[in-house]
Amino acid sequence: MTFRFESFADALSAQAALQAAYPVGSPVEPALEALIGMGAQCKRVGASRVSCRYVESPQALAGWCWHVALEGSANGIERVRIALATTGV
Amino acid sequence: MSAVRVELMASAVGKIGGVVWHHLFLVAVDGSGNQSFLRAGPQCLPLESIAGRQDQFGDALETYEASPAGPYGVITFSSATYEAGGVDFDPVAANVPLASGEAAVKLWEALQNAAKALGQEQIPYDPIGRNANWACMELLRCCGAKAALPPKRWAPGAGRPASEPAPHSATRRVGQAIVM
Repeated sequence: MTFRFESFADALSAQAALQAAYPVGSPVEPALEALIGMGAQCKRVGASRVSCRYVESPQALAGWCWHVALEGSANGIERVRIALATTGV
Repeated sequence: MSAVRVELMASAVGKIGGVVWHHLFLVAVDGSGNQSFLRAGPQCLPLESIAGRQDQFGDALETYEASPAGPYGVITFSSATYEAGGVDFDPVAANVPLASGEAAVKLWEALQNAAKALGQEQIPYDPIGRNANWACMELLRCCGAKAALPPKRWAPGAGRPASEPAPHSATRRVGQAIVM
């Protein structure tokens, strides 16, 4: 399963696609691996929450920056949240 | 929100010429620990950043509207909850305390007002001139806040005061290195 933020122009669309690929209740690890595999920087920010950030064009002076929060438990993914910002220097 | 602390944040976003550049924004914390951000950014991105993408209505190009201010539109400000999965959230961003206690309440309110006023000026966004870092520091300058960047963080645009026009020669510098 490959997931590319570059296919989407808004957070709602990307979140729907990510949730379709990794639905609530499915294991957290594959979703996390996919995000890391595409170049996202991920960091655990709580007992059950991982925060990931994906900058599309890190060498550009302005571009899309995606922010993802994956919340999960032993029962798998409980919530996915995505925000999108146009980030520039 | 009633801020008890206001901080300047520097988040590493990318590399230019092998040097890490940082995106600046502001964060306020209230008495309950809730955080809010205030940030600047381009109103839009160039057409090539949209082509081939899908939004919730289908092809993103169909709803694309070019800004008369240029490919990046004008500088826009936004403020919302600072939390995981939200805009600009970076748990490892460098932070510099700007104010606390009563001073934080006043500064946060002043920053919000300054953002509103600066936004109304409809300043065209220039990635190598008046950009998000410039706007963030300009808000602080408008509010009379002392704004020192975190040590050894390069934030292009942050050092240019409003009175200094952006360079327009063919050999413009990408930004101004700020090393404290």
